[in-house]
Amino acid sequence: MSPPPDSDGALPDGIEYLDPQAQPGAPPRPYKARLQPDKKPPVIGLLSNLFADASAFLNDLREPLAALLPGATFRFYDKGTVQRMSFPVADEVCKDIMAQCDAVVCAYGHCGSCTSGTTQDALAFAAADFPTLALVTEKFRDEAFFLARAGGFPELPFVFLPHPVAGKTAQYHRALAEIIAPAVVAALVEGRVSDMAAHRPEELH
Amino acid sequence: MAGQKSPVLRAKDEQAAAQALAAAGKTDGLPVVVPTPQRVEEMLLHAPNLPPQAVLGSLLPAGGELTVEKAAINAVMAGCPVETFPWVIAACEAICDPRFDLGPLQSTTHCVTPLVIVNGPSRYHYGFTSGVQALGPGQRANATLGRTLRLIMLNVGGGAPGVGDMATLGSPAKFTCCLAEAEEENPYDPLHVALGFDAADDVVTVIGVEGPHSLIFTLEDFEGNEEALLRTLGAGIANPASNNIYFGNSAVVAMLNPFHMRILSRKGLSYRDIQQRLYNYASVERKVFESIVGLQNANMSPQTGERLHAVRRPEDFLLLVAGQEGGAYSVYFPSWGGGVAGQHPVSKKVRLDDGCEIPASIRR
Repeated sequence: MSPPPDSDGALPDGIEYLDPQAQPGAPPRPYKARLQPDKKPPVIGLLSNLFADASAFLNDLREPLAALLPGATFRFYDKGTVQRMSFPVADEVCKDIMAQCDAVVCAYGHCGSCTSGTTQDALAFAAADFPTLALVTEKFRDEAFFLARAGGFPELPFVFLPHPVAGKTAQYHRALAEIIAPAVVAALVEGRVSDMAAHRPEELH
Repeated sequence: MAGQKSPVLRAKDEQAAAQALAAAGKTDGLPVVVPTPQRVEEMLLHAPNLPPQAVLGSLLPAGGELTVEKAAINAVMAGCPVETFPWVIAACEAICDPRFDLGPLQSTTHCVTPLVIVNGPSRYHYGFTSGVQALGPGQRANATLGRTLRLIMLNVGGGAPGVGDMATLGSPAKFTCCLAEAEEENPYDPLHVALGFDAADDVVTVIGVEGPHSLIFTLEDFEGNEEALLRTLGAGIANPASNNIYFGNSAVVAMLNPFHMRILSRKGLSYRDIQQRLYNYASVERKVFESIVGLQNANMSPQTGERLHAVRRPEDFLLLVAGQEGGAYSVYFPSWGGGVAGQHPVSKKVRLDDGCEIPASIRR
């Protein structure tokens, strides 16, 4: 019988101790959901967590996304109240999005708890094999990746944004939406993760 | 439901094991007791009739499975006296309760942390303290119960700094924040009775809060001092930097020393009177608040009136007695306020009579 795995290459006469850490709850699964815009003009759900400027920024994304996804139409959703932004989207909203849309953009992770909530939203769609991505600002990148791994989808698509987005001008938001739209499409169609944090529309500060 | 058995790790000696735990990010940064199988087994003997692989719940954001064994391993690391393990189990059950909303509490950039309050007739017998420095150094049972929860939130819940726990600065209270109530000094119902338990029950209450804020009030004998005390406390709670005013959506814990609580009871105020007065005083006129913080920053409170209150209802003020007799200082604990329901107390009964009791032999 082989000895238990060593944590530091210890000698056989060393001491044993028990691991205090638990493994994350969900075993890893591949993320396979893909939007197929060639088959028919897609309906894209835009799910806002109601963090400051999240809804406005999603609205700004419509035009550049429509330019890349010909014939695309959009449906807006939100979590009902700002108090829900740290929590996963309600089941009935989730079901409605999957019934009415072909993919969903979840926005956005801009603080610790709302990154958790937005990532949980995207995980719920991923678990249903529904194309999705979460927009998260760069400051919460590590948290987002951790949550995706813990939630069972280490390949969950993210588009990381320069921080902050909230509190910027409408002009800035529109410019940023133009910049990240190709990354959003790549996330939905190819499942790609994109780090757009360096693509800050600096001149519009 | 049976959970996973914990892997056995090896090191060349105790010091190397402690260093490996620290290097792997499995500690709070302070030295820990190495959780050898023998030490964990001894802790488990005090489990309230629960097998080691019994699952107490899963902890967000990692979704890790909290078994009784994992609780025992982390309790050993924290230095818990083994006889207090039933209190650890009750505290674990409280943070596993969905009403506690552990996931957002772990992930937020705010410095919120669990405050653990121990009530019931057995609390002093097990070493918990409520008097001088109850929240400070030197109180082993208090300190290690709070620390065990933090280690469990880290190792099972995944609340690692900068990954699962995004607190901008954190707080010293995140190492540990636990004490007993001085029930005998409380002229009103102790906290667990106010929350619906029997006075004879041993109970652990957990609530997400900031660290303690100090209240000074020195004069005992003058007309109207009870109102002055409550006005002072209310004004402190309602300061514009407070999350409770910003979100208006959680409980606040007011932990009065015996002297301060006596001022209120001698004037004939009922528990409900105190809560109602605090509700009134812990508020700020909306226009004043907006003039201070700026319109752009105001605010996420669901309240719609001319005054913003720190809590939604008078009963969201939790009152208890603790601390040294004779001092001028009490403390209050604001909360984070995020989430659907905000932070409210979750209490669990401690099962002390279910443990492993082995009668001693009287034969020679």
